Amino acid sequence: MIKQRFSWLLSIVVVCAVIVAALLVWLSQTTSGGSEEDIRQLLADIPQNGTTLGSEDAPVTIYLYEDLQCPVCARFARDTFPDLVKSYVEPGEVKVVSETLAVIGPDSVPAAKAAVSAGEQNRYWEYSMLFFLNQGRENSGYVTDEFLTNIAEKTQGLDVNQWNQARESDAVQSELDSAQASAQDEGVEATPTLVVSGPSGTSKLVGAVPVSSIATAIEEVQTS
Amino acid sequence: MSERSIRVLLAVLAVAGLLMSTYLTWVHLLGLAPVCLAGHGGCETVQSSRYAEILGVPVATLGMGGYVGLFLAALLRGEIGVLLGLFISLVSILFSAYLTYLELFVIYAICQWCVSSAVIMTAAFILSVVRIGRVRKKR
Repeated sequence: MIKQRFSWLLSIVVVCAVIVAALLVWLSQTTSGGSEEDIRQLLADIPQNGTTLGSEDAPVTIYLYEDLQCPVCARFARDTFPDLVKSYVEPGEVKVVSETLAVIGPDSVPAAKAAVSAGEQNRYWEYSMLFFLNQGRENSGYVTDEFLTNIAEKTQGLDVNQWNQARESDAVQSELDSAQASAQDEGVEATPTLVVSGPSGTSKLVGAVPVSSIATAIEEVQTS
Repeated sequence: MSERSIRVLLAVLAVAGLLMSTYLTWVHLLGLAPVCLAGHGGCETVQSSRYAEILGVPVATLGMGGYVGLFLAALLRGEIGVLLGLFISLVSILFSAYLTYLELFVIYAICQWCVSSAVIMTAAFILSVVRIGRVRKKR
């Protein structure tokens, strides 16, 4: 009788364990780091011009030095960037300019070219955030033409043929060179680096900093 | 192997796992890159991936909870300890299997810490099953 009771308890424990594990998997799939639709909703109605997100008249500019292969940049894009956009970019207080670098390794180059090419059609931000959402291990060879085209096809409003032609254009290469030169001038040594620039000067932040740190930097460069 | 020996082994595994998951929680909360012995970047990619948190809680922190539970299961004698150990280790190996799938086929990066945790939990599950046999024999 006691053995039978123990067997029943074991069965109940096994069933409960399977249910809890399934619940964890479901939560992981549904709540982790936003979806493609979240990205589209976040960027909808915000002006984009090349790699610039936000109103041209915004008093503060954040230059974001990033490499699409950089895991910490992906974390920044997922954890901090949405709050930054909602709190500062959408109200027109801040604009963000991506200075896209290709410093981590060979896979960084086609990734950067692909994102900047999307910027030629003012779709840089959706493309780069979708890239971060699907980011793989650094220089593992995952940045294939198929991978990049797949993201391009998911980027709403992007003409994929035009994007494909732009990828090897001189204009895109020139933008990457310009970002690299700017990074050297600013003494950027790691990605992501944020250079917050306003009427009172500039402030530099490094890493996947929380939005509260960015808020403090914005206040510093705004006060005259 | 006696039930007592199994409980000691479970406690050792729980402490090892707790140390590991505490370290991973710490680096995650500070935004640091975890030390990875080989396969440079794999641990950082996994830790920075969108699957590293559930409802804003780092997966490593959930692991800490699991290892604390496993340690309690090792301390408790008899039926309750057996059932708690089986529950925690079974949830953990099922969830670890899902995380390993993500590493191999979605994130394309392997984190040695995660693999180590999966191995510890698999060992804990095997010990828990053996422990069931020992408790049944006593009855």
